[in-house]
Formats: sequence, C-alpha cells, structure tokens
Amino acid sequence: MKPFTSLCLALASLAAADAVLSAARPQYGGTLRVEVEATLATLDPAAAAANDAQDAARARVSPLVFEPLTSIEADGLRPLLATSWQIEARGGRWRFRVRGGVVLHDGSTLQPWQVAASIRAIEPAWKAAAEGDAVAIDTGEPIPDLPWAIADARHAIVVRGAGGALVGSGPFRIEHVDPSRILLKAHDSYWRARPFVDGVQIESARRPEAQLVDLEGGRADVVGVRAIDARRLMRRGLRVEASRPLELVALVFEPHRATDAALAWRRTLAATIHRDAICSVVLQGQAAPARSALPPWLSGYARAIALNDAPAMSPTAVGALPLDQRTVTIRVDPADLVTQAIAERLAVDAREAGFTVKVQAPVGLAPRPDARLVRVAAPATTADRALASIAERLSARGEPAAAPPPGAALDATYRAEQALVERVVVVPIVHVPQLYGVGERVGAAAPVARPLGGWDLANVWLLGGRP
Amino acid sequence: MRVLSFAAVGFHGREWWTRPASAALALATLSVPAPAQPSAPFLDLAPDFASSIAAAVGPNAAAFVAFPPEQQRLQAEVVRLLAARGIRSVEGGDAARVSAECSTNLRERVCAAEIRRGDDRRVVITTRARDRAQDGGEEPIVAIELRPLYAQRRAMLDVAEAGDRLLVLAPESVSLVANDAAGARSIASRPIETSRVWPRDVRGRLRVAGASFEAFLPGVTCRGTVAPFALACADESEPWPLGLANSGIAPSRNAFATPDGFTFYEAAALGGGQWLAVGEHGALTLVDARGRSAAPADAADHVAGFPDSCAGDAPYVVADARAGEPNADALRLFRVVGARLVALPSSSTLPGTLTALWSAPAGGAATAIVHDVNAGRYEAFHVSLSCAR
Repeated sequence: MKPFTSLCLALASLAAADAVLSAARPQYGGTLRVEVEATLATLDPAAAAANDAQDAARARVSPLVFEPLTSIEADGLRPLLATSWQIEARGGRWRFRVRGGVVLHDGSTLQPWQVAASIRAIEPAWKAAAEGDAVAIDTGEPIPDLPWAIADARHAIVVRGAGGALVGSGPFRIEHVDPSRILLKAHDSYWRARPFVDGVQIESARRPEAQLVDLEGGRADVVGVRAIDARRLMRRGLRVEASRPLELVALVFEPHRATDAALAWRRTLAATIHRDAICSVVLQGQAAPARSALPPWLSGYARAIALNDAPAMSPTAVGALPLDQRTVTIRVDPADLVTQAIAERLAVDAREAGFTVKVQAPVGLAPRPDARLVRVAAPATTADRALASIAERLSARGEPAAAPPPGAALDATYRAEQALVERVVVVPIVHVPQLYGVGERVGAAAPVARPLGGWDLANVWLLGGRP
Repeated sequence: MRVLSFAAVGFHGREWWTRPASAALALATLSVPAPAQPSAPFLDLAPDFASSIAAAVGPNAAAFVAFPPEQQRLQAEVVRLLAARGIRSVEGGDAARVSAECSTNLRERVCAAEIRRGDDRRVVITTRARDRAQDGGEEPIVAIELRPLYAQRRAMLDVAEAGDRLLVLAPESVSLVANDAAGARSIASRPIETSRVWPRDVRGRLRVAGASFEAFLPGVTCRGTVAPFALACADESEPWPLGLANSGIAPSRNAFATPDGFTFYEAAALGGGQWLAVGEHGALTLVDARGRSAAPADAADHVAGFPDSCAGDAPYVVADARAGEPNADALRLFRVVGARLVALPSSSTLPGTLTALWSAPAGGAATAIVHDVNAGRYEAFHVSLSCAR
C-alpha cells in the first residue's frame, strides 16, 4: 500500500484552526471587504475568461450572485434551483423541476421559462423549454451526467434584464462592477435567508503581497493567501482557511524530452522529487503530496493504486549520462512565487542525484526549457470530468492528453489517468488547496472557505457591530 | 420515462446555535483530504469487490490482502469471501499481494485494489453510487456517557447491578443496595471474613450471574446469593473475570499476571481476541494470541473496552486522563486503529480521582469508581458510549 499522507496539510489546518474565533451570536450589517488577484470586469457566467486566474476568481464570486440548478457539495450532487430531475429513457432529454418561490434580485419570482432562456444562452446547441413547473433540456448528444455538468458556475441561471442588467437569485445582487472593484449588496429576499452582512466589496487586481498587507493592517477581511505566506499569517494570529486540494502542481516535460527514448531519464529525474519535503517545508504544510493527477478525494482510488512506480536509472547511470542530459532547465511563471519555490526545491533534490537543474523564470525570451512547472485546476466534480478538465488544460500547454468520456465508469477514468502519467511526461508533485486569510473582525460558525472551493460569504458576519 | 435521480428537496435553515461549537474541529475536518474511512459503509461492496479480486488472482491461488488499519472489518470480510472462492490467505511465497482501500469520491463509493504477483500487476475497481443516508452513517458521533450508580462515604471497590438491586463491594463487606422512591440505601451487608491483610492498594471485583454473585479480592474469593442475601469467603486465588487470562491478584499485591508472566493492572477487550492492557508504569500494551506489542499512546492507569459499540469497525477505548483541576481525573475516548490509539473529542471530567475502571467482560460497558476527596465520598458510575449519526 502506498502511503499517501496529508499529515502536513492536516497539521497546518489544525494550527490554523486554533485561531478560529469562538462562536458568537451572529450580527447583521456591515460591508465585508474581499480582495482577489485577478481582474474581474464582468460577473456574467457566459463571458469567456481571459485566463485561468480570471476563470478561478469568477468561479468564486459568481456563486454569490448566480445559482445553477444543481450544486456539488462535499457529500455529492445536491439540488439548488432545481428540486428534482429526471431523464427520459433514450438519454438525451432531461427534465428539471424548478424550485418555486425563488425571488430574484429584481423582486420577481424565478420562472421556468427564464431558466430555459438562461440555459439556451450558455448552451446554444441545446434545446431548452419550459414545461409547466419544469424545464426540459434536450442536449442532442446524450450527456449521461447532465446534472453534474450544469452544476458549475458557467451554467448558473442568469436573467438578463433591461439594459443588459444581470439578475440572479443568489445571496447577493450586483450593485457595481468595474475592473478594479465589485460591490455586491445583500439580497433581502434570498430564498435561503438573507446574508448577515449588508454588502461585499471585492477589490480586484490586488497582488498577493498587497493582499497580505491589507489583511494584516485591517484593511481587508478576506484575502487570497499563497501557501508560502500561510505561516506568516498564523504567527500573527490570523486565520488561514483551506479548501480541499483543488489544484495540481505538475512537472510537464517539453516535446524534445518527452520521447520514448528518454523515458528512463524522465523516471530518474522524477524519482528525485521529495514531495513530502516540498509539502511540509516549501508549502508550509498547506499541500498534499501528489502521485496522481487527481487528488485521492476526487478519484477515490488514488490511495490504493500506484499510477506509476516503474524503476528509475541508478545514480551511477546518471553519472554516466552526457552533460546535456544531466542538465535540466525548468521553466516557471515569473509571477508565480509558489511554483518558483517548488522548482528551487526540485533543483536541490535533483542535484543530489547528479543532475544540474536551472530554474528559469523568464519575463521575455529565454532558451528552450526541458520542462515546465505548471499549476492546473482540479475542479470539484466527478472523477471523469475533473480528469477531463486537467487533460484539457495540459493539452493547452502542449501535452496531448486523452480524456475519459463524460459519465465514464471509474475504471475508464483510472485508465485515462494511468495513460496520462505512465509516460512520465506529466509528473504530479503536489495538490494544493485554495487558501484564504480571514481578518479579525470576521465571525462565522462555519469556515469562510468552502471545502470544494470558493467562499461561503452569506454565512459570515462582522464582529463589533455595524461599522 | 426512467427516473434516474430524484433528489430530496431543500436546504435547512441556518441554525447557528445548533452547530458544533468547535469550529476549529470543523475547519480541520473540512480542510484535509478525507483519510481512509471506516469499513461499515463499504461492506455492501465486499461481494463484488472480492469477486473482482478473485477473478484477477485466478482460481485456487494464494493472496495476501492488506487494507488500511481503519478497514480491518472490511478486510476480514473480503478475505472470508475470497476463501469461499477457494483463494487462500497467505503472506509471502508466490501469493499475490493485494493492496486495497475503499473510499469515496463526489459521485461514488469506491473500492480499489492493486494486485501484484511478481512483475504482473492488475487493478480492480468496484463502485456504487453514493447514498446520502450511507454517507451520514460513515462517522458516528461517539460520546462517553456516565450514569451515577451509587455513592457512599466508605471506600468502594466495585458496584454491580443485580436485578433491581445493587451489590457494592468494599474492602470489608459486600452490601445490598435498594434503589427505589426512597432513594438509594444499603439494606443489608455481609462481612468479608478472611485472615488476609489487604494490600495498601486493595482492589476488588464483582461478578453477578442471575441470583448468585462472586467477589474477587487479592488472595480471597467470596461467593454469595442476592436472595437470600448471603456470602461465604475463602482464602484462595481464582482468576478474575477480566476476559484476559489471569490467575487473580496475589495476596499483598495489586497486579495481575497472564499465564506467560505478563504483569498488568487492567485490561480492555477490543474484540477479535485482542486486548489493551495497562502494564507496568502505565504502559499500554496490545495483547492477542500472537503476543504483545506496545500501543503508542500516553501512559494510563485505567482502560475500558467497547469493541462493538456504534457499529464501527474499530473498537473504542476509554482511558483515564488528568483533568484540569486538582484531585480530579477525566475519562478520555479513543478509537483503536491498528496498533494506534486515536484520541476522539469526547471526554468527561470526573468528580474526583478514578480508583477503578472495570470493563464488563464482554465489553460494551464499564464501572468507574471515583474518590471525591473534597466531598469525602466514593461514587460509582456506569460508563457507556452513546452513538449518534
């Protein structure tokens, strides 16, 4: 049995938990101040994101305003704006019963035809129409796990009002959006009860360093935190909250190093990686060692099965390699200090095995690297969809990867993952969670960070009364 | 039209004050990847899983099956099912090595195994859709429950229920206690007649079987009946009813010894022929038919076992711990996982110093005797576990 320990993550989380505020009577009022690194010019779920960071930031903010028919929670798929769903025997047509009495941000009540229009806007190829208190969706090509597919933020129900106003049903309504600031106001008639705070102010395009300083200085209440900064916040008595691991950090070899002839060489380099040390030392306990693309909680099988443990070259064989094969250049995103820190540690480990590793963080043109250290989101959904998402993002980075078909059986997902990692072109290193720093005036009986990503800001209140 | 899924309606209201006060624990629980889960929610997968393993291993083969320590019950079930298919459970040799674990992802419950024999490697995966009710049953909320039995000024060694009466063992007597509308009161007492001089740390144990009972003391065994209330004692050492084999406490001593010479003070049944014993200097030791091994945990003076409580697959143990105030002990709850004691959040502060913690021989309950120095009395409590899901 391969030990897959996340002890360091557990320990760090417990340490962070020490600082959790004791329960207090919730208070209404005040404006919660949140900061994000990405620029958010719109919250429209249908709008294409400019990059992964913007996509991730919107996935956090959008659910505060818009809600999909279904929701994926830690215990599986749950109803949200739909109360139930059925599929016709032939598999291409679904019927979702729309929850009654949901008051939209404009004061009207959500109608099935509005749901159908929203679905059509985001999926033009589908046929969606109201049928009584339900909406029928014909996807054409059968999607056997449609309720899972439409649980993401992109499929949230948006009612497009006059002048292009975006009307949702979530706990907050949009008051103002510009590229540097988003103002949300509490939705008094929210069907799951009004949020405690009156509003949320989201400052976007804030660099991580600035977010830290703002949190420490009391100018922000919830900020994004890099793993390399977690200890600093905890030492100052501030809370650091974590989701489940939702991102894969992996080493991806470039095509000239991805040949079959170089397989033993790649295995040898991969075998030098000390994942536990990266997790506990570099990432300050805020990560879990990764020997698979999917985190074990997403696959369900990763702890029992080794995806790749083929033998590596011996150290003497490494020493006998030509110089150009003993020298490895790893490229990292110059703006990403976390992957830079991991790469530096990889260099130390590889050096002990006889390799010379150069870490390259170019801001302009640079020599061709041998590998890149990349971060890839592992979305909280079914194992096959999560792996398909990872494969798609890796493909976009140049590593062609086969994805399991939607709704695939788990053994098919396993085989696809095995195919992804067995050539050692993609080397999983760590799985990292979303981390948030939470300020002293934030009270909550539950964590601000949702286990599957994002924030639970409707459940937050501000201590000290109305500011 | 075929109904594939019909989801339950609704979210509950946000009742803050009913949520666990320990946000810290909640955070820790939510933040970390789920560890290996108990076996119980996966037992229904065992037949299909064993069948898949059997097909991969081949007919009449030998296999060594290993699950994580938390899933021993599941391992036993899979081994049993494999044996029924003619697959022997053997370690080493040409036996296939089966590393298995059951877990969940967001959609399914998953049992996965990697089967190796030499260079041959196979993988089997068995899944079943998640069910919210079964999810809810994964982790019982277990708490120590104390029920006061009796209190008196004089020293007590043990208390046992005998029908609607209580038997109270003291160093000098056995008393019969009635507990009715008038309150608990001693209605009869019989002296323990012996030539022995009790050790300074005198210990005693009662065993009730219908209308008769036995009292065990160091070098003395008494036998009696409840109705009529009678008692006869003899200066003889008998094995005490601890479950773990022993020859009783020798006169002028306070410890037991197993037939192979292991000295222990208390023993908690863990089920499956395994025991957790308090050895010398409070060292906790796991004892089974194969021998003894240290249980990595803090030292303790008292342990009681609850092997089959809460439908879990790992037994629970209650041990003593120092409470925050002087002259007071606490009971602390642990789960036994493999050879480790994993502390659980439940603990109960006692009103004094714990002087005895006697497990029921079959486990599932215990009797705690507490000396409240400040109030100048001894109190007896029935100790059990409450389980919620």
